[in-house]
Amino acid sequence: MGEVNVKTLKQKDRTFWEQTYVTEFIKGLGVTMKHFFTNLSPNKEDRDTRTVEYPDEPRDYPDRYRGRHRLMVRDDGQVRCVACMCCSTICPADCIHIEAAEHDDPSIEKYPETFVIDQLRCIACGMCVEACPCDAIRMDSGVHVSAFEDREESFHDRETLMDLGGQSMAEQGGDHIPSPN
Amino acid sequence: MAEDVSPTIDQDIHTEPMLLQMGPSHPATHGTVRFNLTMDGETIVKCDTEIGYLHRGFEKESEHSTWNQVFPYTDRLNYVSPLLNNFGYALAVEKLLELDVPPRCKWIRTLMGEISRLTDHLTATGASALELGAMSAFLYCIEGREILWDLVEQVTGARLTVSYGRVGGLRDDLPENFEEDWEYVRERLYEIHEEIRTLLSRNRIFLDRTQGTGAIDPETAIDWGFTGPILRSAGVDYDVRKDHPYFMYDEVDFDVPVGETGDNYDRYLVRLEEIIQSIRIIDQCLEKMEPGPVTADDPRVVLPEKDDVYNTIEGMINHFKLVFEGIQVPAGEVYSYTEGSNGELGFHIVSNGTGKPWKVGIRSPSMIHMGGIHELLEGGMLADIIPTFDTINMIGGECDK
Amino acid sequence: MPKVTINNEEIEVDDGTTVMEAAAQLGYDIPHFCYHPALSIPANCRMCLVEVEDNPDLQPSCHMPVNDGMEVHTESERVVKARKSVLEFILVNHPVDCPICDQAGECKLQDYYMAYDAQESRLRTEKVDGVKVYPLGPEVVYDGERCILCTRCVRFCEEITETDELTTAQRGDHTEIRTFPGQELDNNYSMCTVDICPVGALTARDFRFKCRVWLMNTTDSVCTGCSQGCNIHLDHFRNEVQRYRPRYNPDVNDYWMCDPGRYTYKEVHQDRLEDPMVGDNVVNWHAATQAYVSTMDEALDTFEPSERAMVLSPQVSCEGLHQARRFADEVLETDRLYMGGKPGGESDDLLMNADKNPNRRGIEYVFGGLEAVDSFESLVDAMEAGEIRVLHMMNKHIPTTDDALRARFVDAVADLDLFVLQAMHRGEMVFPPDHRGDFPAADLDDPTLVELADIALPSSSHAEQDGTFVNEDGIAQPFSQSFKPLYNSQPDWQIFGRLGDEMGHSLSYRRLADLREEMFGDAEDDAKPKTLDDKQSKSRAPADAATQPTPAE
Repeated sequence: MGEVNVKTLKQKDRTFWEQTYVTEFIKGLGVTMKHFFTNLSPNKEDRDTRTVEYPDEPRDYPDRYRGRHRLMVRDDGQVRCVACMCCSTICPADCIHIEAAEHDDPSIEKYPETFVIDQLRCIACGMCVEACPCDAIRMDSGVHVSAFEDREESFHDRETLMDLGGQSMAEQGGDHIPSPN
Repeated sequence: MAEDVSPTIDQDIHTEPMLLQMGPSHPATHGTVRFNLTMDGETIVKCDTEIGYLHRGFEKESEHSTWNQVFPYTDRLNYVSPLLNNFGYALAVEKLLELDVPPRCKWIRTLMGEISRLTDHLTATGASALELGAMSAFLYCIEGREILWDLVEQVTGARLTVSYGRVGGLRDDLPENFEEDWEYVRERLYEIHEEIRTLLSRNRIFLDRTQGTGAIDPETAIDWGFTGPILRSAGVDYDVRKDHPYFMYDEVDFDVPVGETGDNYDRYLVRLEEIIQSIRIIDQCLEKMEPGPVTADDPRVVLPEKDDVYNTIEGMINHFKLVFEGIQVPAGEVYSYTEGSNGELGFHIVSNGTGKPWKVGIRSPSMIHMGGIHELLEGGMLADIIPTFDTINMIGGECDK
Repeated sequence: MPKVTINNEEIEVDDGTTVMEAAAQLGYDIPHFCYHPALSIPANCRMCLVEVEDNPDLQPSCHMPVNDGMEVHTESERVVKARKSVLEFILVNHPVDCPICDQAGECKLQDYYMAYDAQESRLRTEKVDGVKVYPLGPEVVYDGERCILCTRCVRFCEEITETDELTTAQRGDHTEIRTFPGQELDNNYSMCTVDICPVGALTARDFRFKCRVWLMNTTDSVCTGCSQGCNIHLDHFRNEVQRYRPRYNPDVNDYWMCDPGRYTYKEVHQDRLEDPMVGDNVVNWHAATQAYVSTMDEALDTFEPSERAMVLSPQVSCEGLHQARRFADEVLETDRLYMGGKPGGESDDLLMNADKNPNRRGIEYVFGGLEAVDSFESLVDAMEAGEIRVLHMMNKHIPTTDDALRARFVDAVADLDLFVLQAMHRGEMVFPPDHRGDFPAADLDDPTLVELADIALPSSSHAEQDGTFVNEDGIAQPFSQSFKPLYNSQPDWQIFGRLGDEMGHSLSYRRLADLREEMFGDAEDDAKPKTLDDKQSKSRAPADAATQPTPAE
């Protein structure tokens, strides 16, 4: 069981030197000047600044970073998405617009004729990835949504979303022989 | 002579109080809030607070979302401590469901919650320093906050808009190198704490501005509903983590700092001490945590494993029903409260038995504080508004929802 | 009258009542797949098994008749376990198709799994393959893997339409539904099989992949395809009608509706007249009303009452017709009324009526008898004789398929002094539409009635207003508004009110309820269907079905 104590913080009276401000001034300058001289070092590793020379020095995003969406593909390069509308239903910002259509191949049956993500509305919550039952959409591209000149550029359509590549890990209809738990 | 003339002149000068609007757009009020001040010279006679400039309809929007779709909204309440909001809401819904989450989930919630508390306290302290002119202190605090954001990003995928909590657990477990990264952050935070203390704690300028200003006595604080660092600075030792423990707060050792006078300097000291205590709690969490599941074992609440969803019809049906219908929470009402970084963060949730909440009401500490901030400001001077407002730490998103 | 105790509650029921029906009367819903209240009972799905005291086996409650003194438990441990087993077996070969299956959102397997099962899969081998996307007929597509062989569709074709197209083919776990050799599922009610299919094995080609069920909102409405007035659920999403589904009404349509009727939803959005027009110019309502007032004032001075006429449309709601009557009496001061509407068509002995207008008896009721309204042909004769100079026409439909008569009418309209058209559609809709409800392209050389109109006013469909239709049997049926009037249209009753008020008469009503009170007299509750005369309604359901709660479909 944890132990919780109440600790009363007493305000100390000022000493003579604190009142003159001289010692505090010097101590404060000491802190800032220490950083200043450390950062004057010509060797970048010795400095303690956290400046990143972006975009010349790219920043690596962690694995779970939620960046630009990408639509995964099947073995033959067709889009994995079957327009089930789970992602557009769960999106809190209502930014995914999908129109489904009949696919010629009866084993695929359904595909998204239109799949547009309005990146300006997107809040990068990642719920679409969580809701997808086919590993068809991911946000692990490691690239953030880039700046745009024209608003239409931020309406990412199906082709744009498939550009970043990636093969889906889920087969349509499931693995025919499931693995034991 | 002059002495003969001045008394007569004094009697003839007519003065009246000045109305000064410290408008919603003000560089020192970080967050949009409006003070209509009635001033007598530099003294504030009456302070009329107006909030609501950041009202975004959180509570109404929640009524149109499923239970899990509310999490992105909770991120945007107190946006410098999003994880605390996430977990507070998740706890409330789990109370309605009468669902218990596994221990590892509670450890991680405690841990990540304390990280969020750290980010909020660092921001509050830094911003207070900045507005009193200590810009270096601000930058050091922000550096501390940056490395914490990096840690949060590793775990959740985003720095601020995390959506990490879920009803019945969490989105993911901690990544593998979390403990390693925490070591570095911990050391750096201790250094930053020391630097802030050196720069500010005995700095005469800082002391003159914050000592004795914005003071409140415990009775008034309780009357106006203050909680959190403000109440503790006044001397009342109320902390939800201590008095009504939740998650794993009853398994860790920590101290609850309280002040004596309730002025701005006490609030600064309380926050600085809470930074140390939060680091202590995080260390204990990492030590005591055992491997295990991070979501409850209830298929009617938690999404099934992706492997089952892709390959079995049972998993697929489960997934589909939870996504488009939402979790069916039994009808009822609950008020669940946790210790937010600014005070008691309460969620009053009413369910009508469907997959969407009927009503989500939030007891946001910042709004309650803004209700009583005039008690601290009236009688003081205009310049005292700045440190007082900073140490109250009103976060606009939490205040206005 | 046997007494039965279900879950420790006693109830007395009629002889022959099944356990499931008795449980429904007490408010207990027993899950089922193959049982349907309007079809015979095969008891093949075994989902409705309940525990009967003193009986070692679980009994199918859909089939078992109640005996006096019987004690039944619907939630005991054995029953709960049985339900899980039944679902497990059904799901063993069920494909992982939820993302591509239209039934998601109204699928019994999904609902029952979450309510009663929620177990993980124990399957360790491959699932049986079946046929996918197999057209059983022009409207219905079959998926053999999803089929749970409840045989509801087979029984529907045998018992309701009596056309016997479907049967089960092959054996064991390779059994599938097929049509008999040389046959297609092409009867007029084929899409009802899609409604009754509890899973996504049967899907309607028209609705396939159009909209997800959980995104749609549903309103109670009435089909406008013919005078039967089948009750429907109107499913709509973002102000667009997605489909009709039949709504249970034992006095009118039972659980069914015909395919051509289902397709009439397309008329709500096809080729609408969007804005008021004065001549060739699109104007707003204010300008159109002003133009109407000035031209009509002049026309009322110039022409006698007998030179003014009105064409009534039996497509319009009773409320619209009530206002039309007041308008004809008070503003136009004429009694030259003519019947418009869609021309007649195919009929059968089930639900389809030859009269393709929903509200002819509404005209009869509002105008006190059909003698008050003359035929369309007599209108054309009168127009050609020069007797009619001012015509106010409701809706563009011309009640004839005779091209010559149609051409005569269009020519005669061109000679009128004032032609006001109050219609939903813009283009010429040549009847009949094709089987899918699409209208063939009109001959664009002929001017349309909208082009000929001096003033054209856009009216709203039945989906955009509250109203009442009186069906062929005299039953007054209310329908509800699904969404606000589209484009710039207004409901007919409001248009008449506006025009009448501007002409100096007080014709408008602030609330539809006030209008209804005046129209229906002392009816206490306008929402209840009310038979307007003593004629016996043609009921097709068991006599007591309407009085007691029945098991769900």
